[in-house]
Amino acid sequence: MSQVLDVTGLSKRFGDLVAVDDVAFTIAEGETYGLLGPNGAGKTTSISMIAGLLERDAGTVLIDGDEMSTTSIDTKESIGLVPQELAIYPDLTGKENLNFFGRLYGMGGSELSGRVDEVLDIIGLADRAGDRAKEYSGGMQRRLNIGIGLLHRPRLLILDEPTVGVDPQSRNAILESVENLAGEGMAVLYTTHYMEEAERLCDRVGIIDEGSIQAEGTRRELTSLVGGQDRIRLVATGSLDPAADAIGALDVVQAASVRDGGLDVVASDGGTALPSILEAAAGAGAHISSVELSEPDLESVFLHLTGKALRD
Amino acid sequence: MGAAGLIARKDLLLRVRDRSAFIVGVLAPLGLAFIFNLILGDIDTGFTADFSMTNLDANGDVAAGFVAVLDQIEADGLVTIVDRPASEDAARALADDGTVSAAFVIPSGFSDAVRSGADASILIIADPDNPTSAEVARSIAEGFAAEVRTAQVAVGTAATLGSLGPSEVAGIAQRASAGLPEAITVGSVETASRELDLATFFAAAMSVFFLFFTVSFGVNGLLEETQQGTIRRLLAAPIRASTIVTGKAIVSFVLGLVSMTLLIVATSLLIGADWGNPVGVGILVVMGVVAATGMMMLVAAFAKTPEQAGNLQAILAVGLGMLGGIFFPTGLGTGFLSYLAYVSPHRWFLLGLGDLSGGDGLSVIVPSILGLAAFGAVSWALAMWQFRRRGLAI
Repeated sequence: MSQVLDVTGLSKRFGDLVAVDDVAFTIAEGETYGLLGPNGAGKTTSISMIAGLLERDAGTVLIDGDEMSTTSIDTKESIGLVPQELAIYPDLTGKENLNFFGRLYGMGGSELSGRVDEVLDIIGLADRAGDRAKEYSGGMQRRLNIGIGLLHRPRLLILDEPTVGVDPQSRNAILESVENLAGEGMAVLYTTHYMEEAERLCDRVGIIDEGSIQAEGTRRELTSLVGGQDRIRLVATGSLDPAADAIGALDVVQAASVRDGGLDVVASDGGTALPSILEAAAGAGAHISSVELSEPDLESVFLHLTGKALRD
Repeated sequence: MGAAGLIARKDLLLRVRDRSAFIVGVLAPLGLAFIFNLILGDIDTGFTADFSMTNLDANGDVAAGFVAVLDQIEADGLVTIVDRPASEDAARALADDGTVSAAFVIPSGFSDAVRSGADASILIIADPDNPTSAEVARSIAEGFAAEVRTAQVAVGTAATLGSLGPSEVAGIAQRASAGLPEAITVGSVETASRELDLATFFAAAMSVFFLFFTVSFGVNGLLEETQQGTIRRLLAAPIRASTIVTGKAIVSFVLGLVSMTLLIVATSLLIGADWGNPVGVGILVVMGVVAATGMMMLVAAFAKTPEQAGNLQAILAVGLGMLGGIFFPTGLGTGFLSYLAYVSPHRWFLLGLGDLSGGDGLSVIVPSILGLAAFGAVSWALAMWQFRRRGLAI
């Protein structure tokens, strides 16, 4: 498979803040690559530079070997961008939105009308194509937002947190649509802070935090970074911070943090370590109401790499 | 159709959909024309002021001269002497009850006082509800006084002012009437001067004033795209950022042209405005729209939101409009304000129409065209510079 996107040494500062620091990764044809990180990790800034919306301070971005910058008109034809915020015209119909952006990418005639119908089918809006976008539900607007991005059959489709604020049903429809895209040979760059989405959609994942990629690889490669470590979720009340400190001090525990009314713990052998973890938590003043033990996942990896949860 | 045209077409469609184009480009101009018609509908009958004349210096030759001047002005149709009361009290009563807008009273001994070089004055009793006519009366009296002073200097102390002949009276009357306020004189001298008649002046002034609000709808679309997030999608498309700005400018241009055309047609039909040579008017309108679009674009470049831009644009439009003389004639005279008026595109536009009304061909409007073009070019360049500073690579 040929490489569609090649990013090296990508950096951006805003004053004293280092928003993106030496980010590098590649995406091949038909591959879906996930940038997984919490809000403010540098995902949107990275894709803004990759899509030619923002000048970069350093690094290179190559799309099919062509340099991308804010003024690279031809290179931009290879990219489809789905911004995090809805980027549609509410007073145009779904079909008019698609037609407008299709023409902006140089499409026209039967090629455009045929592709518009195709995309309307893909995003499940064929029967509402003549309605104004402002009359759509939030999920339908999100799907239209995606449809515009893939209309001109870009070599690289960039989706910036496309499921934020979407109901579960629409979210599932969006994820199914994205799954089908890679099947068409499109390279997909998908940013998210939802671990489940990254695990479901992405062939490879780059874990990004504080502007730099902490680790990169397939799910298997990434979870292997955590070794045989299990993830333990304790739903608890009481003194959670002292409990996290006490648990973290145990030899068998790699990381412990407080999140959403409970504790996230990464341990080398969860089953064996559980009694001592519960004992340490109780001793520190935490009252445990439930325990969940799971195999390593990307959340565990993130916790392992950064010492904090994805949603922190 | 290029990308800029595509963006413009989409914006115009959206303006039609949300009815703002209809309101701003059609309804408002026609509404404005209708208001003009209500206010100025009788303007073609000409301005007349009703005065009274009381001469208490019946045997005085200078007083007789003033009466002759006033009679001559009445004969010209500018004023009407509706009564000649015998006393000051009677004259005051006429002004108080509104029968006349101003009463002239020449006091007893006026002519002797003038001849001896003592203080002499003509009393004007004005109706406070009719300040324009009162101003006309004051101007006539001042014009006469100036002529009398000139005559005194010319012939020396031995001259007898009572010997004014008919031709001298006509000359003084003509010069006195020339001292009338701008808005009054234009009705009688429209064919011979480079001044617009009252109906055309207000039609043109209000049109160019409103133009600045109309074109702002186009350029502010750029801020709306930013606010609704579509600007990221447009910037990610294979088009130059300047194409997006050009698309917005086209929208402004089209809205401005449509609005001005409707106003010109409507005011011509409804209130008889005489805009002048169609080719010259067309050129001035196009350049006026260019200047207005550039200046509103400049404001949009500095504003953060469409709302902020709208507020700043309204301030600028009203400020420049006032400075440019759309509400009162700032361009008259030689004072500082008359020079300051040239920093307003409104002034250049009205000046161009005024020059055009003189009937001397299109060459007379070249300065106005260049002035308006300069406003457009400079403000456009500054707007592009500011857009680049804001990170919109153009």
